[in-house]
Amino acid sequence: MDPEQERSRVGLVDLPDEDLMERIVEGNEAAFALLVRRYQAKVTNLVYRFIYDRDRAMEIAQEVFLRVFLHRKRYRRSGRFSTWIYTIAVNLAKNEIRRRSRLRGVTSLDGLLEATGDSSAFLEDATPGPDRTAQQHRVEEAVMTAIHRLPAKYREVILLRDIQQLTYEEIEQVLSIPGGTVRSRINRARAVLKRMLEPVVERRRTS
Amino acid sequence: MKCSKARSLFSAYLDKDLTFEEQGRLEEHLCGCSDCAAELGGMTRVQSLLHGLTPIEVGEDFCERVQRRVREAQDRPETLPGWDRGVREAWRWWQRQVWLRPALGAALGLVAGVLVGVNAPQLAGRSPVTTSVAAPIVAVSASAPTSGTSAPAAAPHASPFSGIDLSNLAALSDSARLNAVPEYVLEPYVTDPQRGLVPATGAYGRTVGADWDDQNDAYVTF
Repeated sequence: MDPEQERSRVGLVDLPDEDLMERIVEGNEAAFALLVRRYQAKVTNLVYRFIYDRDRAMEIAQEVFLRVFLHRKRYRRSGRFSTWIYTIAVNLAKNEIRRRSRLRGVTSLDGLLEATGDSSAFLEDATPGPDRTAQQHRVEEAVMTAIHRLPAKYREVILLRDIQQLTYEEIEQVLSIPGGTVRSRINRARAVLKRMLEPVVERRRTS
Repeated sequence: MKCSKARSLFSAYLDKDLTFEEQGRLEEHLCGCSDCAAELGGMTRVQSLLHGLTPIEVGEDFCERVQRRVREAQDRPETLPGWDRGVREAWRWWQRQVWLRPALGAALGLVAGVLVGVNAPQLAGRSPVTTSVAAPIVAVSASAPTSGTSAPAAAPHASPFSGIDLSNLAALSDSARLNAVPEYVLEPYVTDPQRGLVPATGAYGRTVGADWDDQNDAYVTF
């Protein structure tokens, strides 16, 4: 990065997403690069939780940013940028799910639950890192598989709420559904997920 | 509070989305209902599992990949706006027509050859505009100068050929005038001795041509 670009980047760092979008519309490439770096992990992980395919999630996440750039003039400042980009990401992820005839690489949930063993260590120390045990990885795999067994309308709300930590109001905007529906779906999704993961959470309870 | 009502509030309770009053009533119910307390405990642990999922790492080159895709997309016609996209798409379609291109080229060549063949006798037989006219069609006014650059004020229309009285021509009927005009004067351009090649714009609303009249030593239009 040359000095001019570096000065431009430093001036942009403190700007909110919405101001960066204005710069992008004006043709500022550094603003776009900064916005990509801000959201690349969030968007990629959201898509990954949806489709459960790492490589494809990377490609779709890139597509999300590509669309942000190509449709930058359609963005309206009245809405938050985060909800706009999550809307694009969720729509592309849903398209991918519809495109696939079946989920790749997903084994039986019952088998995974049997293999998880005692999940107490995982639950007590959920800090991500390279030292996570193989048993913890199995628990994660069981959780991911359970998420994918959820009906789509429950999966999307649980991912936006419990993985992306969006507020109820933001989820309303991303999915274009009423607030009451968001609340009831989240409640239902958590109850169903709890039932699916009963062996994991019950072992934790009795250990 | 009934169990069904209590369980409908679990999620909002976990998200701290209940009013103070709702929260108090729910906690009161949980104190007396072990099943609901167990259910809520299970949901809490599931939420912990979700929060504890390891995020996948995004490669260092993610941003560069995105920027590369942006550049590629900008070069693709479908991402271009308006007429530019249409032109590029048409060009791309034309480039795909492997067989149509030589066929169309051959057809155009054939048409051009036919046209040249049809017009060849006329081209060969055409006389230069300075060739003498068998019979003058327009009487040149005796008072008009034989050369000059400005048209007389009395002329009904501006003419590139000055000093010519066109009133006689105007008196002729169209068919009579056209019959009297030799073929070669129908050229759209003629050679003016003073001005070189000039458009053969006529003087009375319908141009047919112009020529040099040797007998009167003047340039005439028809």
